[in-house]
Amino acid sequence: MSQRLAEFIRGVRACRTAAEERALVAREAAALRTAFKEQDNAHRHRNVAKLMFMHMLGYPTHFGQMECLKLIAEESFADKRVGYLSLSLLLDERQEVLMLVTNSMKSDLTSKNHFVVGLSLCALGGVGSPEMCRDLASEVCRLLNSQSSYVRKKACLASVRIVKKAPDVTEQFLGAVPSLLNDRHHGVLIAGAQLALELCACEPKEYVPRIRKEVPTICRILNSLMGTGFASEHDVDGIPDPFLQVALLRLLRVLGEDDAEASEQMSDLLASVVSNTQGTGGGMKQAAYSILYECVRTIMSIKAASGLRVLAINTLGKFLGNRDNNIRYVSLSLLAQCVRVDIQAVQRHRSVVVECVKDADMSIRRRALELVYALVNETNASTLTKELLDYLHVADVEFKADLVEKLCQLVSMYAPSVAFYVDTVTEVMVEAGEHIKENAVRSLLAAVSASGDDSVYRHSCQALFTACWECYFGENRKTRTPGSLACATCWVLGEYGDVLDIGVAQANAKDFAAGGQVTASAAVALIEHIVENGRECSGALGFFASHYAITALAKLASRANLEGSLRGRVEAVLAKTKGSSILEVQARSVEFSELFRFNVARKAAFERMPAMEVANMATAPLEEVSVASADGGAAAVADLLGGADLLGDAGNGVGPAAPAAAIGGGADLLGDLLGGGGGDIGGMTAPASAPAAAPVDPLAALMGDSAPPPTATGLGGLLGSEFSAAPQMPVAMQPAASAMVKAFDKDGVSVTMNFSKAADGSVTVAASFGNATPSDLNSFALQVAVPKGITLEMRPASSSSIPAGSSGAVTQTMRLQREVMRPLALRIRVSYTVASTGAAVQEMSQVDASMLPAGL
Amino acid sequence: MALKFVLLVNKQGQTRLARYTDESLSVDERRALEGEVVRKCLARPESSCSFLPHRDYKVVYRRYASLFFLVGIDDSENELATLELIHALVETLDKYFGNVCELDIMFHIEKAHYVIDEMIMDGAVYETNRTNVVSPLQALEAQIAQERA
Repeated sequence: MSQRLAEFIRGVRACRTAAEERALVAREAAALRTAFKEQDNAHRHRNVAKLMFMHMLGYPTHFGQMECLKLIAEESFADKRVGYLSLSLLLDERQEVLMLVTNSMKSDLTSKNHFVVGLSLCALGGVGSPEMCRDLASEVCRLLNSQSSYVRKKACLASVRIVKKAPDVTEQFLGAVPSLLNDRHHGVLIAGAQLALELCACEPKEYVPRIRKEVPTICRILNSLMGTGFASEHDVDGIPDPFLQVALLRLLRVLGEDDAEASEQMSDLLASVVSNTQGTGGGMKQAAYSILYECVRTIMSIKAASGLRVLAINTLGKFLGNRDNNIRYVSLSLLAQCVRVDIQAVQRHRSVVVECVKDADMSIRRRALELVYALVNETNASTLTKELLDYLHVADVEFKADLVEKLCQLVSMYAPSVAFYVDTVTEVMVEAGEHIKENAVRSLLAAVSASGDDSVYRHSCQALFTACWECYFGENRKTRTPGSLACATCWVLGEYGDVLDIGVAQANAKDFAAGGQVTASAAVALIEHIVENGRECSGALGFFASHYAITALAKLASRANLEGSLRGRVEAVLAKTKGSSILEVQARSVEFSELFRFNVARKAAFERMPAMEVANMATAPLEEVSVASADGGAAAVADLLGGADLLGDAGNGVGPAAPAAAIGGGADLLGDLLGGGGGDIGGMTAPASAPAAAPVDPLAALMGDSAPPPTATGLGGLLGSEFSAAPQMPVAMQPAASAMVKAFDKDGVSVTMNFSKAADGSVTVAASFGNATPSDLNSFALQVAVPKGITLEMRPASSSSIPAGSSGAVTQTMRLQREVMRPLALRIRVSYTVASTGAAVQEMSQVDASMLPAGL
Repeated sequence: MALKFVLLVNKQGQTRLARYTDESLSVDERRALEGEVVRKCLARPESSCSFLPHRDYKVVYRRYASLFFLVGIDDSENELATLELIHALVETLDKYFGNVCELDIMFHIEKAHYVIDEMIMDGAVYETNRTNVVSPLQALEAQIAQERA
């Protein structure tokens, strides 16, 4: 004899351990099995209730499924009710047992008792399988016209299930939609709207136009809801039935999408929903916001006039000022979606969005930060960056990582100048250096390197030196200097310290006068300090600080203008660090000391790096690339840009290879550099390549036979053979500044582009067209798209027809100007008609950074 | 356009009621999901907003006394309206049970399910008026009582 339900539940509650609970449930399950086997009808009802409880706790209940079916077949209401409930809880459409219940359900659907019909409809709506839905479709459809609203609304949702599961029998439900939408009962209306939505989803092409005829009806319902047409019993906080309004607005959204006429029909209504709902005054309730929110979503999805869209976005803007954080949250998520539709209108609320970045609620801060990020462009980058920087000082520790990452990405893309970029990231490193990612530091250094400008170098030295010095000795000194800052400072000072004045020799970095002009001597003093204290730096890069420092010292002491005064000092440091317990530092010290014996080789080895590729900065949003076309084919632009990632291949250069903090990684990178940049620059630049990456050990190869090439044999060989020739090589290296690229070649038609870089950094591209086909080509047009940040000026082509068999007869020139240093990439489209056949041809192609020399 | 689950969980993380429309989840997956979501909710400070992205769901939750009401929705669903729905559900339970508490729901779980059945079917809301939900339930119970007598 089994215990009562309440006793069982109490027993489970009293269990102190999971094992106890399992044992109790197992005992009870065994008792239930026996009861089911013995056909204990008297207690069947409560036994099934126990099964439901076990199911909720996560125990298997399949052995009781047949009992549910037996209960449903009973005449008594109480049994039927439990039976149907357990059916929807314990079974799902995948169970074959369900087939057995179809007949009971069918007879219940025709019952005279509304409640019995309702129970059957609920179960069908909840777990109906495709077969069951097909079998019962006509009964359910008939019930849509029932006298009782209780049955009608349930039949509606059972129909939704049928449409979902058995799309082949949907036609009959379509006819019922108009009358359902004219119902007076709110429950039926909501359910009717759901049915209409499901029909739209199931056969968009066929059903949407037919249901679209109901747009005026839906508008009328919404209008009367706002008026006094409906009973107030459905009001929530004085707002007329928000659930119904939301359901209808959602239906309007589906009907208005991509249809100008329907959108036009509903525009006035949507505007009045916004104004009426807002009209309820300052103390608006959440219910009102839920309607406004849905309405804005609808406006942004349909083909709305721009005025209506601005109204919608302004409504969201007002949400942002709300005290309820739920409302701010939904507003931010929706605004982020609106950015795609109408970025200008969203821009107007930028200042409020920025305020939300400082919200007390973490999830709101994250959303706001993403939105700010989406809103940044060249014109507002400096103000927004400043706002975020200010906030960084007070942000929570757990939020700093997100903020730092976004800030760095943002400046890397939109910084108005390299100096601004340097200043911003320096400040970020000082404030939250331990959160900064290695690749952010690398992008910064690459940008400095690529600028090729002494004033930028001087500025970077000054900014980083000052920041780093402040961290060690300033008034607000830190207990641990961020490793990222120490590494970046060492690298920049080491590379470009020769642009600084030598200054008065300083014995100790502490002696530097705060706020003064940085000199090479002060730089050396600071770097020495880092060599000694590098291990105390914080963050992931902290470990590398002393490695960077030792290389920087060797570099500075090998520059022509500094060598005289610094060499002795640096050699003394190297002598000291030969005994360092940090392997990498020790290895370098020994290698460098050896190198100092060979003057020519040393100078070549410690030469400045060639400008880095800024490939890893190329993360700009690609849908915003700017486009130019000589013949101004505006319509063509859209699909020219669609699809493939213009810069997709550009990242294959330095970027992805560099993070590998292993020596092998460094060597691969070198290989890339040699392959990409042409062998002629390899010999000169290889030894000290990849500065921002992990320590590379190619120098050992330079020592001749004293050490075998440790990492890449190819590299070693290259260096070995070049070594003897080193004295004849020019000391300064100019990266390749021009290149011929076959930008397009298909079916005998070709476009060759000659890239050449001018002194001001702009690139001139001379395109010449070749036609190897036997026919002339007419209306030949070349269209070019470039990434954002590059402006393109195109001259007209010398002719629009290309004679058969010609090569270079027709040319066209264009000029590319980079606002931000980033790799060049072009996507081109060629269109022409073949004169002999009259066939129009259109082809696409692209030139990415990997096809161009690094120096360009 | 759908509610994927309705969960009532107490502060100790014990599930008091669970209703799923997402049929792809097995019983074990459901238990795992409940555990994860509740842990996340409990870890959030009270000042946080009521929305929580979890797996593919947006979870909308609200706490009433010791009980969390959690509703998992998909992207097309309106979060604010879902909060409103939770409130309507609580008010309806309150009307039906008369000052509902956790134990009422625990010991009369089938009744709580009946209420949900009258408001939501297959993830779609269709009735939110308290009287419209409760009166058919009471009428049916009267018939059952009659039948017993």
